Amino acid sequence: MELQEFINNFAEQFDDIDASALNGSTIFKDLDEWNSLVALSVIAMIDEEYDITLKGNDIISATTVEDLYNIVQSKK
Amino acid sequence: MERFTLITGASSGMGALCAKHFSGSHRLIMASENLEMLQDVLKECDHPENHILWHCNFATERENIVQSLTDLLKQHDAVVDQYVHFAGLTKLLPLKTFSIPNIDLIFNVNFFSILEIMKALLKKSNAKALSNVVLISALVSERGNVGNSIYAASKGAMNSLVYTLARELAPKIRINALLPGAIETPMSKNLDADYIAEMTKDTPLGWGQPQDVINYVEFLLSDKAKWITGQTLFVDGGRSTK
Repeated sequence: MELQEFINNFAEQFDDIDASALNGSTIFKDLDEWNSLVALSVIAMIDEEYDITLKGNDIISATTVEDLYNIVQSKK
Repeated sequence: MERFTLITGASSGMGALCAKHFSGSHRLIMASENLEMLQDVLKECDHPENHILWHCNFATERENIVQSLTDLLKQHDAVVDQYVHFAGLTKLLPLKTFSIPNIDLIFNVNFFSILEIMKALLKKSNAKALSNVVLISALVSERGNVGNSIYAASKGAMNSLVYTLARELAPKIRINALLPGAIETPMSKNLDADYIAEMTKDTPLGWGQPQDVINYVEFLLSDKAKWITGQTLFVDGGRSTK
């Protein structure tokens, strides 16, 4: 799994934010569109694309997109 | 990108009349499992060259709906801003005789297809364009009706979806359901005589015409209804008063 591929999949969960606006160091909880439904969509995407079940705490402990990517990597 | 109004069930009955009604003022994507009938309806539309036919069988191709619609939109460089779901099936039977394939058939067309179509329309490539959804439910989703258990339950599921999605998709997307009562359509002509007599007796204003429903669809799609979302609205000649 590549970081860029993860960013693309992550960006798919937003209506107005394109992958080009994100990078590994983006603090995703500061994004205007970030909310609890998007968080659930991200968890569902990670489950579907990477076959990894994240918990709410995993999202809470991550700050940047790359943090989240690393959490997914560590569970593989 | 061109904006289109998606009308499902466009090959017959109210869906076909609705397509013809809007064909002069909207660019349409007309959906049905019957391509031949769809082509016949298209011939009777204004500006047939403006419209797209979507051949998809909601009863048997549930797994393919998202891909099929996404591909169609991509192929025509189109987005859907309004979606009207007329596609519907019924079978009057006592519950105990309903086979699983028959139950699945009715739920796939009346309800599950909507979930897949909405998923396709809420993809990033289309979500910004989508503004308005009207689902054709039925009076029997709110009132008991002998022999119509599966149909009524599928329409009840549709009503529930409207309440939730109205909140989930606000303020950009409005979604409402219409609950027609006794309307003269090819589907209603197949009902048995006793059933028709009972519906006539129960409807203060008598049987409705498809145009009575289409007028309401037109209103809901217009800016005049811009403050209306999450509603399940009777259009039934007063039958719901009983």
